[in-house]
Amino acid sequence: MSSNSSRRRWPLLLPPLLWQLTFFLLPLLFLFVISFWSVVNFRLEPDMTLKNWDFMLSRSSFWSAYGHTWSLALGAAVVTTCCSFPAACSLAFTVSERTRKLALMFLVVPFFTSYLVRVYSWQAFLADNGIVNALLALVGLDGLPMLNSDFGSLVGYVTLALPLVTLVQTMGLAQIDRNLIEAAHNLRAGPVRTLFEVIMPLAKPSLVVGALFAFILAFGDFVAPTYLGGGAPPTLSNLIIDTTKSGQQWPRAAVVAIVMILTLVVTSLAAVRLAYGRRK
Amino acid sequence: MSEALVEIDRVSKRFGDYTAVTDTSFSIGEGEFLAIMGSSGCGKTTMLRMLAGLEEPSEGEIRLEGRSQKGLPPWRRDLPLVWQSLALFPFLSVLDNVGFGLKMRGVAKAERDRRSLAWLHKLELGEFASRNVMQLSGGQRQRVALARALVTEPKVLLLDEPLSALDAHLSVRMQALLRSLQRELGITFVYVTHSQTEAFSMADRVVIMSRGKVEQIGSPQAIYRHPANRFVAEFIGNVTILRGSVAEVGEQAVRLNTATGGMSVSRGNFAGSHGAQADFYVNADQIAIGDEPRHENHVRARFLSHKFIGNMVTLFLEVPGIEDDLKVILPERTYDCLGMQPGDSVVASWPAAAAHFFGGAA
Repeated sequence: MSSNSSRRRWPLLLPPLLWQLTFFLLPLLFLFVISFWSVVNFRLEPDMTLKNWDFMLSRSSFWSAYGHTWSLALGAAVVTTCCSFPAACSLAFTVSERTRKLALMFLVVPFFTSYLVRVYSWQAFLADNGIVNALLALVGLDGLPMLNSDFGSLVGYVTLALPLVTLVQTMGLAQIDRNLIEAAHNLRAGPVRTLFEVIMPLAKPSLVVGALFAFILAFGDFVAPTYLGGGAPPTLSNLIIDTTKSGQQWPRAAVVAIVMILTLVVTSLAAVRLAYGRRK
Repeated sequence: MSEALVEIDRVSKRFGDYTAVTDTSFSIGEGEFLAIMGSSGCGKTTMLRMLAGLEEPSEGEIRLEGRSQKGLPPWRRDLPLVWQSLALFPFLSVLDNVGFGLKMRGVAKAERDRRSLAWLHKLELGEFASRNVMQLSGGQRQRVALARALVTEPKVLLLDEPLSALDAHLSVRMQALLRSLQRELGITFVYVTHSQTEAFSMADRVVIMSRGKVEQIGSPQAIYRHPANRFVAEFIGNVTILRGSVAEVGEQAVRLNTATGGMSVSRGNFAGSHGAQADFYVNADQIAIGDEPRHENHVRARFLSHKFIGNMVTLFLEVPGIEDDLKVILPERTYDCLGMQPGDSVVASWPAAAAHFFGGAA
């Protein structure tokens, strides 16, 4: 019966399967293949060489970009998680059902405008003679260098990830059985202890998955580090752009991309293990 | 039960337009096993939640050992609750679940593990200490919840329909366990339930609530024998309510004219006068069945049906002129000897002492 119905249903799986195959798996495979190709006179030539891998992985500039990207993405995950959590808590626990639905709807609105536009508008705020520094000058404080720094990049990453992370966290927190929170109160846990002893452990999967989303989005993003971070020191995404622009080095860029993908796969697996592990 | 440990003083609770509890007062003695019973929506759980501090009374106050609990958040109260859903923490082991309350009190790990483990052993759960609570059976989880609430040695334990999810057999065993634990520890138990069996088999006193009000407070025997009003009588279901007009008020008994003839009812403190209409009830287990009347009150009735409850049988008889069926409870052996068939005509009779006015005999 069930095998019969699943046999009849499998054609429905075909379109997404084909899509994934054509536009994800095949390009990925192609990326892997061209990482072994050569560039001769600014043109790609099929080859079977390890020199691109050797060139990229033996350079300290690659590894410092890798470290920089990693710490920025980790920073983005931490900052976004911390910024989202209070909002998600109040959306999940204190506001009415109606307000929650409305707020969740508004969390989607940022995606209506281009991320690039949102990042550009941050420039107006963060520039040396921008809005924030103008306000600081009004109260007699010195201006802060915010644009073209890691701080600028982080602002961009948080802009990108905050709505999504808040959404994920709110969903996770809203699912928590209220009886468990009341039970904690009943056993003499005040609001703060209840947060750390009961709510956080119960919300762990959504906290970790939210942070993972922020990490992934920040790790691969090139808009924020380029337009708010100034591109220096470069992130891996900056490196890919630089490599392709200078001398059409697509094979070297492919090496960077594959290292990035592998990093994200390993990080994701570790995060999922952390989120759902030790629970049976 | 000596002096009042918990006093509930003119407490009301409203949720918007809905009134869950109306102007309710009663007190709970030290070491008492009190059951609050009623059907769903009667306000019994709200009452319990107010005791635990999870709801604040709209009016009135609750006092514990004479101290008002007004405005005191739940985490400053010492009234652990055993939840209907158990509310065990799924991310903690059995041992850590039990030790949670001690941890919140700042008891060191070694000490709280020792005390938690002692409770687990007491409730025959010692071997499960390191397990996840999700790996336990319903009855085992029930006992973990009990251990978690009792490990801090509270003066009062609140229980919200803790046995409703268990099968009948397990429920009976848990009732015995709860009763013996309560006796042994001398802790006050406040037990909310919709089950008459649970309330009557365990409690020293039962509070019967309906639509946010207390209908009657008393020992199980007192409630069973002398329901205070029509609601309690119908809720407990062991009497038949009749109505008549007062013909004569005597020394011991009141004579009434009813639709089925004259009846004698225990006078108690009945204050009505000649000609007044009055409701009275007849205890189902004090009615005799036969071919001839054996007591002064008697009616001819038609046997309709019966149902077994343990070793007792409840008979339903149709009496001309009475709307409700006349309920008769007989021992199973007695019923067997009568050899009645549905449709048979029988005589039901009872002494004046088996019939009472509401609130008259207390």
